[in-house]
Amino acid sequence: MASQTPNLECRMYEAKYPEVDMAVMIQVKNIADMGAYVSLLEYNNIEGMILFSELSRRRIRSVSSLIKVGRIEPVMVLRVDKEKGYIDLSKRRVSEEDIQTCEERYNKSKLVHSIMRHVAETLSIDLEDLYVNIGWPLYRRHGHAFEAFKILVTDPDSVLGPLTREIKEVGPDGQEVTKVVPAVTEEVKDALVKNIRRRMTPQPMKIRADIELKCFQFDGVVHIKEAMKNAEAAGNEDCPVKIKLVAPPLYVLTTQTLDKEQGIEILNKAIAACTETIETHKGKLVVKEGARAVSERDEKMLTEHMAKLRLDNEEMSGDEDSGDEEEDTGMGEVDLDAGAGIIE
Amino acid sequence: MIFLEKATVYYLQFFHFEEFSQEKKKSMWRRSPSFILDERRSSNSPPMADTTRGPFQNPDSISAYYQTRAAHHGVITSDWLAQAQAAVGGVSGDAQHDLSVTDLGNEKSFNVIEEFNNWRKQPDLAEAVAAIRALAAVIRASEASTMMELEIELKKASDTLKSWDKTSISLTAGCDLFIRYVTRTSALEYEDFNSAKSRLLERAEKFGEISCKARRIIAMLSQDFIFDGCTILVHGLSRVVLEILKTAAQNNKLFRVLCTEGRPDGTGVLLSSELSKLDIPVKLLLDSAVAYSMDEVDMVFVGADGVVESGGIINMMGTYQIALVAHSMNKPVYVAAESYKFARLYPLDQKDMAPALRPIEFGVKIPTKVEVERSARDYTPPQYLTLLFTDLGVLSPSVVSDELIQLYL
Repeated sequence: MASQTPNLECRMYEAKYPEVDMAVMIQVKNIADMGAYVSLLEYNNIEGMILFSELSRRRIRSVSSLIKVGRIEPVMVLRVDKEKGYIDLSKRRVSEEDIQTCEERYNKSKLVHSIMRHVAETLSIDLEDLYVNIGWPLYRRHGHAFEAFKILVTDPDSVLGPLTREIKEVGPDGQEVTKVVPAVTEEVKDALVKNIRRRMTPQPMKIRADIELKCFQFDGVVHIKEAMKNAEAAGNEDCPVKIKLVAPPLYVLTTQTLDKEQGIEILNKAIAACTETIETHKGKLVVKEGARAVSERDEKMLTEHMAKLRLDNEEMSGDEDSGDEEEDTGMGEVDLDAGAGIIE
Repeated sequence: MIFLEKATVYYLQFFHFEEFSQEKKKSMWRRSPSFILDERRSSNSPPMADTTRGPFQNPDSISAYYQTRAAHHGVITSDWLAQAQAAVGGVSGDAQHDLSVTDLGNEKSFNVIEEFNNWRKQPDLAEAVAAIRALAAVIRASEASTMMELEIELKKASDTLKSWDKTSISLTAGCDLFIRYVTRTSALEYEDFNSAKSRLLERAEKFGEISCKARRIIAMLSQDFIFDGCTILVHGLSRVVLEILKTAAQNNKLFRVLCTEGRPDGTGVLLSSELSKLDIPVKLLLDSAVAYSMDEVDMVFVGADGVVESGGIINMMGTYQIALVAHSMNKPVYVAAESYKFARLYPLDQKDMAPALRPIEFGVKIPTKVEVERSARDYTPPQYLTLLFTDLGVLSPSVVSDELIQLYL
């Protein structure tokens, strides 16, 4: 497997060229008279062309507004000449769902390719060999190597164990024997598992719900506290539930989980427990926003919102800005009689 | 934008020229606004030696422009016959020479030149139209199954044709316009490549037909400008201008034509011969007799080798001079040019163009120390031109830029 300078260039998929009517991810390389020359990122940067007439469904007023050198975007494959390596592409015919599918697939393939390339580089082995023995079989068995890598995070043997390859060697009787051996050596397996675990350990996502909590009965504050504790008690070790005060009567329930569905379910249970407790004490709970996964942007908006409300809620002393008392001082006494006249 | 860029380049050249003039005061008489040409002369090497010869470039030192003009003369005279045979022999020699240097991989490139030369042999066919026909043949002969491959083949063929004669403006413009026109079609949307290819062929054939009919369209458009009793000054042997005069004669208009002699080609002699066959009164002038005769002229008709972005024209040597005289004496200058001669060039003066050289015979032996201006063409700025008669309509020079934008957008 080892060679002097290992080849670190390889396409992501087993097929050398894409199929017709398939969406692929490209990068624009240069713009010529009749169209734009692009490289297909998933097929080891082979060259294709988008004719200007395939850029848009509408009349083009300016080509440069539709296509720029260096831009990465999905396009549809129109025609492929597999013998000579020519590929016609169209930006106009790719549908919205094709765009989504293509981008998702490309992001997965890019991560897989990055891991494979890193393993090949650190172990000084041929990247194409790695793909032939590991990558492409995983694509075949699991639909996408990305899914295989996800399983591999927790259970490497169930993914890599079935992979085999054939080696021909001469037996003791001089006959050539085909022998089936594991496709993955221990060295490759360790490097692969280590890289995959570092790159693909899933990050917990945050789930949040906004509620209004009120109780105007005697000892209402105590009852609200009790309801909050019951809500937090509804969480478990995998999905701990926390409840915070934003500004009365607005509260926010949050949890973190690897499993989105489970997190939403737990949070809904917490809301139910809270509702039950506060209604026992004749209070009221209103769900302003149901349980949902939140993004970074939502998190930042919530932080800003809470800071603003905290500022509004602060007390200020009424006499803090009173002005100083002004002293009324005179000019002093002047004796006008002494030396007032001019003596000649 | 283009003008600003060009002006900047020109300004830099001028700035460099200042330094140059200080360094070589002894050569002051040689100075030229174009720094590039001065550099060539200063290096003491012939200008043509700087040109890198492609495998299919005409190896003769004489520009193919001149050979084309000679081969395209419609008059069958003993001189023309000798020149035609020499040109054909030269072309055959070129073909033999090219065949020895090309391998099988270049067979298609060779074919496009052969096709072009075959079309060029027709005396009435313009050089650009021959190129357009040759490119259409490239599409027909292509075995590509993708649009990308077909585009690459067309581009190679076009580049080969252009490099055959770098000095021909209409050849370059015709190739560029053809490729732009042919590929600007919704037919490329066909899933089936053969349908798209046949659609391209239709566009190619149509472009060829339009180019062929351009001459007739221009002749029809210009009839309104020729009135009974007028006198027309003609310079050069333009087939479009000849068509205009022929149509006017067929419409029973009475007019007189003054032809410049057109040395050293003698284009005026040939033109006057053609016109006398049509019973048009014709008078032959020495080239230097233009100003003398301008009083009796009502309008000037010239053809064009190329129409540039500024609306000016590049044409046979002497056109600029005639336009200057006509402009100063308030005579209109009309240019008859096909639209495939519209080129994306913006020359600012005579030296901005690549020189198209031709042989000049003075009748007596020229001393070796004497330098001879051998350029075959000059550039006439748009302010000296009145109207352009094209197959796109009658245009004033200022709208040429707009038409070019329409053609190339």
